[in-house]
Amino acid sequence: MRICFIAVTLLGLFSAMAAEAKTYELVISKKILSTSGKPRAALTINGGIPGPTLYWREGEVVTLRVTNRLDEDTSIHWHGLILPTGMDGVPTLSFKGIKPGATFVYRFTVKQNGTYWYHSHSGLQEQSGVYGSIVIKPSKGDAFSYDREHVIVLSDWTDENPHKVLANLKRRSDYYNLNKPTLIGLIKGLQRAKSAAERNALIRETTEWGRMRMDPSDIADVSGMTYTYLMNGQRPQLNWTALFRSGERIRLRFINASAMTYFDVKIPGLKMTVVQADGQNLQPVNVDEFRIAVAETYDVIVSPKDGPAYTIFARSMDRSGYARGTLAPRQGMVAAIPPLGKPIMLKMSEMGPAGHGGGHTGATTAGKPVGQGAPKGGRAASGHGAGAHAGAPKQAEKPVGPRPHAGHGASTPARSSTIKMQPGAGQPHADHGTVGAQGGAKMRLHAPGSASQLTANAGSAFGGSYKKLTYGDLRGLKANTDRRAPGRTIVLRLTGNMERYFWTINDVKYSDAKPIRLKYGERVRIRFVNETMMAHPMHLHGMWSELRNGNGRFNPKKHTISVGPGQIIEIDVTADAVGQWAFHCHLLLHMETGMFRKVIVADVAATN
Amino acid sequence: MLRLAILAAGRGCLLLLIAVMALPSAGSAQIKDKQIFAGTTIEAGWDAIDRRASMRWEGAGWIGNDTHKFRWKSEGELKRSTLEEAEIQALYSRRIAPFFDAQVGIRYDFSPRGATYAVIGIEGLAPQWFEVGAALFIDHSGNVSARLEAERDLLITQRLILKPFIELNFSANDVARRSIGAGLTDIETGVQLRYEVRREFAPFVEFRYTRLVGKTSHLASADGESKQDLSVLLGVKLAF
Repeated sequence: MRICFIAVTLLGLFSAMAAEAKTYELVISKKILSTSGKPRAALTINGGIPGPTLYWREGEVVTLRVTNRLDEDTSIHWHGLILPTGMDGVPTLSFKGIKPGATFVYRFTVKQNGTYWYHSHSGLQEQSGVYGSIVIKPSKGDAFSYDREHVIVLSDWTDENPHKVLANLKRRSDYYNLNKPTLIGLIKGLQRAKSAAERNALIRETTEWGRMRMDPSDIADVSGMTYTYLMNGQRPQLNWTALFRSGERIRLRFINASAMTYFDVKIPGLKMTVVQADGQNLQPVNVDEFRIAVAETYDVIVSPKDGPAYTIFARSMDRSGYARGTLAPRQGMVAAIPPLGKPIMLKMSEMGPAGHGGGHTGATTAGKPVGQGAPKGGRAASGHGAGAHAGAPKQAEKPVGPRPHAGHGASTPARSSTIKMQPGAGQPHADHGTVGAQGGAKMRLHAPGSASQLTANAGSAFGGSYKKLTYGDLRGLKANTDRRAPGRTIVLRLTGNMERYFWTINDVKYSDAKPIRLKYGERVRIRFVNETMMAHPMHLHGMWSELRNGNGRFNPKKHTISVGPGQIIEIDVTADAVGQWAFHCHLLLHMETGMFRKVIVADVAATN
Repeated sequence: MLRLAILAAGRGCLLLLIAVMALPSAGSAQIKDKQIFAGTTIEAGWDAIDRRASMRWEGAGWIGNDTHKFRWKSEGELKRSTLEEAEIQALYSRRIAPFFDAQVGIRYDFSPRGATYAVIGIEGLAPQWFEVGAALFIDHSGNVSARLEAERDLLITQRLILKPFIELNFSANDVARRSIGAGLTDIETGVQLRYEVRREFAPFVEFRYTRLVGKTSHLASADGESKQDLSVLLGVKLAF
């Protein structure tokens, strides 16, 4: 009798382990929190910001019961995860959303490992706190060794109602910009100039920006004027601390879960070895600092020395604030906080070839098809997706060879002249504004002040000069499996109107646009042509975006691709997931004002 | 006939306002990219030289989405509790270019004489950040007048802003009952220095020079009215 009992119990235990089906309860509710120090209504997952870290194992089946205790619809999207379209969490594309009081049960098999995150895909809820992290352990073991790990969720919090933030921008697009060029700034610049040529260049630069009605200080739409920047939900004063023991290698999983903020991350005194981007293994790169775009993740390994504490410093790209924590052997330690640094101003010469009059594009017209055409001949060397060249401040400029296209109407830069963008065939659009003056043969495909650079910046973490991570440094550890050349290229011009604060793709808002149709299994190239002067982190759901940065089969797989001002960046995509997938700029307010598309992957011939 | 046209324009504006208000749910359910927003700015200044309680206001507001807006504008002067001049415009404003709106609507002058006009115009941001506007006014008698305006914010510091402005008014013909002569009728120009304590609240000092020109100035002299006026105003600008 007793043996029977023991046998049944053991059987039950074994079967429970074998099923590997974990169930998680996530409740989204409103709660008063003092995130900035002042009590404000926040939207939380299980009562906190960020929501709980979900620890999964590659291969297991996870069940997530998400309950909505708000009085409006909500949703949870699992960012970067490959799963069935019905589990992707985008209302009207994947499912109907989660009604107030309802519980939606997500269930899917985890098919990957690495660092990811999850967040609401309804309205502006993500800004109010509905986000959290996901850590997926590999089934076979990590590609690199470490002794301890910490998750670092970077985000932005505003005490204002997020809809008020958008309303402020609609009334006055520079509402949150306290770093604008001023008369006093111009006079100081002229005084500092060392020659008449330099003075003239400064005046010319100012009038060029004025002619295009573009603001070179427009780095971030929403700044520290309203934002408190958080590290794991804690404002800088709270000093979130990560502990370590001497001699340990620490893995730091950085996630940018913010709505509108790019962070520049560094740990003064510590080199970081970047081992993963967007959850995917990379050839390790040693850096002093990296820029993490909205929605990206970077995993780094650090080896802190015993004794001192280190500041984990994440300053916003526009230098209007920072998030901060401490890496220390004991609680309660504090290290020096580095200075924020001067605000970055874009230089005319740093705008990529596609940059022009502020990306102030024509009136929206209904149903413009996504531009497409065969990859144009005579493009830049095939190895480089967009044939960039280095532009780090310390480096000499290297001219590139054949000039890449702007995709639909080649701009022909010439010194001190301005050229109207010619509408490409089949893509008439109104009044594009003019292409800024570019410096002769020195084609730049990135702005050093912008979010991404395609070629490696040669400064090395161990060589003495300061090394910042660039997109050119990302090289996948394993070769990509789909080696087919793409059948076609889809051009997506990233467009918008800063003055009236709305953002579009190909000059068309989501509600006026036709979906992008892909045939299941096809291999397609997507060319982003950023005609605006803001960096846009473009995120395609459900499928990997292989960033064409010159590494061929080792082009890194990413889920979020940041395209800098005026930049042209290409990705290759294998449409290996049937369903309706969102494809959008991950700057929340850009997405909300129209920079969004539906991608339909179906088992029929693509009709675009 | 023109009176009917003006009435129609007014009613049309009202209908458009209602239509625009009905737009909120335009845009797909997932991304509400055609939402309606609204904004208002009001400037009120008091004459610092003429201590006899002279006050000037200028206001504008809009409600609508990125393409269609209802806009109102008003400006006027109150001198010792008499409305020296006061006008209000109600317009349908439509984005026709990245930086420009085309506008159509009505204008009503309370003072100096009650008058109603049909308005057609254009407003926007010109290169080098000049905010410009041009409008044509047609009154019920068919008199055509026009207005050109320009102003520019010059940031001295992040919060201290100098704004030069100029307004020119024209008339196609003499309008005896308004003491207006054909051609350029008057120029208003000046400069405003404001300090943005907040984006929503900015006290200012303004130097304003108004001058009647040409035939209009002769008519004024004949009436014994002054041809020009220089005033210094202290006031507050609200934006919300």
